[in-house]
Amino acid sequence: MCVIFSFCGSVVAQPPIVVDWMSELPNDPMILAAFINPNNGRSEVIYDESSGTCDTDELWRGYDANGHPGNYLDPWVGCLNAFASLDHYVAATSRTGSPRMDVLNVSTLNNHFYIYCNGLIIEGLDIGPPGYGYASALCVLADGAGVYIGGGSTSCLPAYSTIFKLGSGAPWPACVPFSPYSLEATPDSILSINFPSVHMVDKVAGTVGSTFDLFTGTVSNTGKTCMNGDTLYWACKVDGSLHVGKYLLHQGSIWEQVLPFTDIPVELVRDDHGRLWTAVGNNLVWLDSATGSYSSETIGSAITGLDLQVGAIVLAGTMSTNVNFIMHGTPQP
Amino acid sequence: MRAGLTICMIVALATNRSIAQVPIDPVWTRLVPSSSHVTRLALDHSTDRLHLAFQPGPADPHTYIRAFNTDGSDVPPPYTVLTLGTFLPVTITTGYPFYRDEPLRLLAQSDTLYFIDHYVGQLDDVSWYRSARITLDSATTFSMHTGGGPQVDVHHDQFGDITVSPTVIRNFSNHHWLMGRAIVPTTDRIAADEMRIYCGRVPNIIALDRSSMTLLSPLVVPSSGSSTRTLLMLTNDVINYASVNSNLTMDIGAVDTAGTVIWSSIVTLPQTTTLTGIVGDALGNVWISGSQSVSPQTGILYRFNAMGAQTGNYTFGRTIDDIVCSGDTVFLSGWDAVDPTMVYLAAFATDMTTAIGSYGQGQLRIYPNPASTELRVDGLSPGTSRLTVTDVTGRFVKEVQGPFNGSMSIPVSDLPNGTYVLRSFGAGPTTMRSFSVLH
Repeated sequence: MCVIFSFCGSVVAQPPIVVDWMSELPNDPMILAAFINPNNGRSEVIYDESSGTCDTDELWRGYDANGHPGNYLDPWVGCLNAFASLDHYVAATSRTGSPRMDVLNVSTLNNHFYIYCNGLIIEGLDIGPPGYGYASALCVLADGAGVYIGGGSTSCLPAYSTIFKLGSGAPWPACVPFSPYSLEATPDSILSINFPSVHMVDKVAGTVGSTFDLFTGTVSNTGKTCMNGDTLYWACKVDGSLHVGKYLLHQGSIWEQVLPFTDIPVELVRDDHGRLWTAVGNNLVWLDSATGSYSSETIGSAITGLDLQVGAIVLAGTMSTNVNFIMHGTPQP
Repeated sequence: MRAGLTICMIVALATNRSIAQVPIDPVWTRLVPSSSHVTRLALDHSTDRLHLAFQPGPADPHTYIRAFNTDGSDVPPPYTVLTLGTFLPVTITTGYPFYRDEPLRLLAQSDTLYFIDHYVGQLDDVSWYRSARITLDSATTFSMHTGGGPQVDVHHDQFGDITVSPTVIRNFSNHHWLMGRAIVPTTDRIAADEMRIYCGRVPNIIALDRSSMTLLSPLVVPSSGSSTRTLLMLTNDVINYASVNSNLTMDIGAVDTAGTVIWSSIVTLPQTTTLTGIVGDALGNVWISGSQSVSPQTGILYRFNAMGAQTGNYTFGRTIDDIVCSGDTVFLSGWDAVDPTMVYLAAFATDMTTAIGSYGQGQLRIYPNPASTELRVDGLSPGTSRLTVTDVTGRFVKEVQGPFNGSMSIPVSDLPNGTYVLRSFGAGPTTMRSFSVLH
């Protein structure tokens, strides 16, 4: 009888990670996402509060660099439970070292995005005239010069698809043809990605420029991306299975790997050793970014959070035994 | 070789033995101030150092781990005291600690500690358990935290780490990657080798394949009651077990990895007893320690030889939290009921020939320790004829001839700094005490 959650009778291919701490908690509530805060090294976990009481402890928990749960609750007031299923978080960390940005979408309360920088409200953003009352944040990007929020707004009829720019320079809203589910940045442009389409938006003017497709096929999820220079890596469920690709801007696709997984990718990140990491279902997948060759390892019953910052990786999810797990480690060469 | 040994050792007895309890006197004792009465003890065989985990008291909720040499002397810094529990960024501003840190298990190997503690977060008020690998520079190299239930045991070897909750066993690789996580019957302490993990409670000792974490056939051993706690020890393919039952009996025995019961025995306990340790010595004896739960809260210590014959039933008036063994010496730790503000670390010869005696009368007591000018010796029995002092290498240093009137002082100002052993000779058993000279 097999009583474990993984590797029943098979040879284990250990991921190239040295784990320095791991934590388990009962999985009520579920973990929605996990992040590493590059400013203090904390691993932060966001929980689904939709079915519980408004207990801030359960909404957000921080773990210090040694895995000790300090409940480093960011000091915003409120509870996702107050707005039920209409609210959600999206978050981003600047690739150039600026603070992490969190966006809380409070669409039905008023027409504001609330922007949090390491837990402090830095500004609210009107997304349309009063009465429109519609906004949804789908993704956020911070590049050191500004914060870009991708989502929907009635200020961009009929597609409702918008990118808002905040931060230094003139803020702008840009209407894009399709809802941006992922944002990436080049020195001049914001890439508004709705798989498989990419729209280039001028960073200064907010105007929509060229467009191209990353791949062909029937897309069945929103996908994930990460960027390294002019190279865009993407992961998306295409034609029923997970595809991961490498696309060089102004040149085209370098490789596209089809993986034997049918779930939606949780995240796509790149480490300092030229390796891509994603999680799909209960599989942690790592790929050679040069060739697309991959390995995988199962863990728990679901991986729901993955992030990689300042050389560390954090995984979060659910064991098959009704406990949440958070695992923190360092990718190895 | 293994098969032959098994054939020779198949003496599956279930005997209800009762031999008289004998009070014993330690070769040396070190006392450490603590009001929490909880200790854990580990022996690092690679360095021959003892590590004692204790809490100094409610005013200081940290756990301290203090290192001693096996002769009872202090180990110099950085080994002297390792403070744990400082991880939470909290300032204690009231008499009530915002959190506590209680040692639950301690192992040591190659200057690395494997430690389980229980702590309570100051803001979330969640009870957390942590098993950690800690090097002596206080760097935590790996830790496993559980907020949903306790951890009871940890194991480390060249193949990785194993952490144990009562019904969950996690197997980590050398890179601490979680290789497998098994749900198991209630477990108090595991035994493991490169192939298997043994867990569960008597009569069903469960074997897990370590690589796949799949259940193998259980090793069924004799049982005289309903087990409330079972401790396991694995040595040379033999699993020794000790299991306390709710009916005040204890099952003790040995079974090989094939499931053949080598020996078994039953001990009737004088009262409700917490089973605290099982360890083997160099002669193949199995030592089992426990502490009685109600007055008198004294420790019990049983010795069985390799064939299962009980050869010792001891007490020395203190609780016994933990037990380790090095060569011909058994080390115990616990609450010093004689001085309730102290916890103790004590050493005993495994044959008890040099230390068996009345603890109450004729107890040899030395102070101060360390001494600079003179060492006061109290509790000399009337028959004591001479005292000798040797250094740690056994070299004779000085001798004082009796008779003595219960106490006397030995000048030590002429001795260089170091650790020495005082021996009393006379009509009774020879008694030894370790002391230090520090000018």
